[in-house]
Amino acid sequence: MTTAKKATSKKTSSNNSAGITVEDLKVHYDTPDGVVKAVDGVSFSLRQGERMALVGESGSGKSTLAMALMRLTRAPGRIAGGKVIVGSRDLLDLDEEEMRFQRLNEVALVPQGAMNSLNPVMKIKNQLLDGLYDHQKDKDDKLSKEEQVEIVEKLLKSVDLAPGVAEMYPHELSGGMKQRVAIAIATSMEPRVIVADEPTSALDVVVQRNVMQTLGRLQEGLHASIILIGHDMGLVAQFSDHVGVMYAGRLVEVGPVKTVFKSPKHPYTRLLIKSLPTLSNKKDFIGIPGLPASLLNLPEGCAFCLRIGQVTPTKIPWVNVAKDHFIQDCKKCADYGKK
Amino acid sequence: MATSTANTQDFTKKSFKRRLEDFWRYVKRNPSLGVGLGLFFALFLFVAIGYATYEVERYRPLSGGPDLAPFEKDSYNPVTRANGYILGTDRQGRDVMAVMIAGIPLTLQIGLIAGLIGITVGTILAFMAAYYGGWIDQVISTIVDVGLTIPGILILIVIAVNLQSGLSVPQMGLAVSAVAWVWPARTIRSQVLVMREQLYVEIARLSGTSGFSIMFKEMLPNLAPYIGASLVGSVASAILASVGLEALGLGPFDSPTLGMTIYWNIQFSSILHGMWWWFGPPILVLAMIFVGLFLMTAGLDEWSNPRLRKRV
Amino acid sequence: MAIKNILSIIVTNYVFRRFLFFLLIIWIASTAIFLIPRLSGQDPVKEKLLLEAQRGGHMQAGLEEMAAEYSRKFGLDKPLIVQYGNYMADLVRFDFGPSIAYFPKSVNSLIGDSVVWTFGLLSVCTFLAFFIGTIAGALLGWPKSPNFLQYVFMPILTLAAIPYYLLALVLIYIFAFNLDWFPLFGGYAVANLPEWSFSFVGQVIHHAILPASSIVLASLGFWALGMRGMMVTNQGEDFMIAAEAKGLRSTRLFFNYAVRNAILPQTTALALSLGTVFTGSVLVEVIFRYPGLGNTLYQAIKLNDFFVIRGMIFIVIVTLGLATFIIDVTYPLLDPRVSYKKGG
Repeated sequence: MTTAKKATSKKTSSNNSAGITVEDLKVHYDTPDGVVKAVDGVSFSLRQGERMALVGESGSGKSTLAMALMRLTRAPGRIAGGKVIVGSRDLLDLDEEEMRFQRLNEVALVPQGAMNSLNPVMKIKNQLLDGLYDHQKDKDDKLSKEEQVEIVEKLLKSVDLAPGVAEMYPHELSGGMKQRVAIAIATSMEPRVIVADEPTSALDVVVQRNVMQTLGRLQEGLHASIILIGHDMGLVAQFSDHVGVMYAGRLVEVGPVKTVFKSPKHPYTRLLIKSLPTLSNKKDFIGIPGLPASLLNLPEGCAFCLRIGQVTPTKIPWVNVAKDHFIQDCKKCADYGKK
Repeated sequence: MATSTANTQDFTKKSFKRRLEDFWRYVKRNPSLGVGLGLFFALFLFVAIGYATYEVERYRPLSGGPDLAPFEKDSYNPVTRANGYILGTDRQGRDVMAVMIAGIPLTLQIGLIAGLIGITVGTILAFMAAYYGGWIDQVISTIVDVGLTIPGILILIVIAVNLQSGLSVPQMGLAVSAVAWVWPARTIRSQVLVMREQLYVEIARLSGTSGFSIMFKEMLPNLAPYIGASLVGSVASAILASVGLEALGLGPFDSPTLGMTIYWNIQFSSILHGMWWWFGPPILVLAMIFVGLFLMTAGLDEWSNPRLRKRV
Repeated sequence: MAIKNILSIIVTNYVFRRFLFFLLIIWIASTAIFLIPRLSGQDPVKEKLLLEAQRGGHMQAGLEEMAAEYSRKFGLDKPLIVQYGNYMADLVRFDFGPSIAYFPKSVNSLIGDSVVWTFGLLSVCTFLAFFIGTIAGALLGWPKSPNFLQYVFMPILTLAAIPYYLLALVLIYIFAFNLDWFPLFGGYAVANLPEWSFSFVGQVIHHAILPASSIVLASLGFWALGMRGMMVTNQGEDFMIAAEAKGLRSTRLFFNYAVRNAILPQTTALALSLGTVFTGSVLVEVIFRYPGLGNTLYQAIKLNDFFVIRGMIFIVIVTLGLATFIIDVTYPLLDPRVSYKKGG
């Protein structure tokens, strides 16, 4: 059947540098009061097989970005520009049907842990299979009953679920089990890129760890790139190779996780890391002053400066300060928060 | 905290004029609500002008010759009524125009009385059921379910048939309110159940505010759009029930309410006689009332559920 | 011990609870019908008989016999509880006593035929309206549907606001009176008697088209609106977004995800709407002089035939309760989250 054939062809042809490249992606919302730039020109690159995390406060645009990568942005939002290049094709350039085919096949979504992302009235096995059905190019290539059972069992096994789960309905599963099913679905067609939007946010800590391990294991097995959206810095540090920090719809810093954590170059990142409680730090919690920016009619200059009460009129350059390490280089606030 | 004004939203208080402008702008974006209100405004104008300029007492039978088409000469009053009546007369000599002018406010009155009582009783019961839960909820919910399954009109028929003297207009309002409280009770109860779980209620409860206080100060204001929509719905079903009862012949016989006019139309087979001036106006007015109420409900629904906005 | 277990299983069983509800409805309704007349005075029916006699109706002759039979049957001298007991016993056997207007004909003989006509008309109308309305609503609520559908359906949706009988009056005027396409009244052509023949069935259908159209057209909008609302709400649901992320085909998203979920509250609404459909159809039957329950009820009200009214209302409530029960009991087949075992 086609999935088996595809597996080999993907792995042999995968170029190690393919992965995903995002260039100047913009997502705008048209409101009666003006334009809200939820994602304002984000660019980054991820190699095949690498893991990147995107962190930021609520309202920083992380989830909007995740949806945009899948081209799932819904009205009143719209993708206002940029490129999303996966395996040498710009997803934003494809027509509706081509994009539909790309979803699950090349780019797959692992939805938020808090979501009820499974259809309440369908059995799990059917939800594992229907994505595969709708991606068959050859309509006559139907799966026999045995093949169906085989695929379902294989998928469930890959996420450490018992075969009996296939006959159950979503409401009979726990949160962790449902997320595993979501992971099984997302990896069923061996995608090139996995977008995981806060996959463990509503789960308790022990389950979180298990689910993340499963996700990581599968991702490695597929040699897929994964973009993990989240706000749990601890999780991020353990899981990812790279981390990107978002603020006010813009990427302010992106780089290897160890470097960014040990010596952050952007003031916002600095404050974010400082606000993390550690076992040794018995002092008061340090928050970040001010309120998150209003994305309505956000001016061109440095968004973080605005937060601390300064104004920078011109657009801040996106500078490469080290290997794979980029920051919004605003001279005015660069030293804020340094000891 | 000095933050640039360019970056924050302007939360200063709006003047009344500004609020009015906002309201008008919203109405333009929400055509259902606008058209609904417009229809009622038109009816209101019609009645007001009618009472000011027309001899409304001619709603009584034998005010003129029977079966006159509009503007047909009235042989019983050849001098004063050479040009007949604007909407003609019915089989029993009523001036149809006068009947319309007098009947509209009566029918609306019944609807309003029943609707208001219905929504008050319904809201109180809904709050009690949803907030206190437990067996109170069980009992009230079961009563509401029974009330929804048994068509209230049937019970109203039983009541009406047994009243020797027939119902006056206010009495109809009262009787109909007995069925108008059921649906609001159900919808508001589900809303309160949702709200009860929300954080601000928890906080109020934890800070020691009494149950009643929470219900009035915290929940009620947030429920305003739903209660508004339910009120409109309640009035609509009240008018529906009352017109239905009257058309069956169980209403106030001497009043020119719209339902009674329909009743007489059926009794005297006005359609078979082609008396379009007699059955046309009440149908038109009733259609305006119902469509108006319906559009207002749709409009209020859209206001309270922003997800439905921006659809036709 | 085993008995206690069985008992607890039965009591929590969904079907059993719905059945209890069904009985509760019948009990409350029949008690209300019993009590309401007695609230106004001692002997409401006898007073009614006197009223009719005053109006010089056709009952003058049988008045004495009727009063005698009535007293015998209901034992008005006996205490209220006993009267109630007799009343309930009669109801259970569907014995509604004699008609007042057509004494000594029994109520059942008068109601009997009308039930079939009304049942036929209403079941077809409800099915058609629900089916067409739900499909229309589903299409309206689907963002990928063509835009012109919105303009086509808006007028039909507003028709939902007006009661069936208003539409009936308009339809009769246009199509029966002016255009003469359909007969003005009746269930079948005037001089004929009911029989099982093609021509008779043809007549029935021809006569039923206008009344059925009024009911279907006026109730379509309600179903469409409800379905549309549910579809719109579903669009924002997490599982819809996740399903779209799976790259599923539009048709699959529409049927298996959106419609399949939206239809659940629609079905619940169906159960609740049955009462409204019936009461709306009463006047439609009156206007068309359709030989159904509605018309019989109307005549009985005019003639103050309380036993017929009472019997009819009881039958209607039993039928509605039964239909609601059947719909309730089949609901778990649609929604796997509601199980037969638990409280439901």
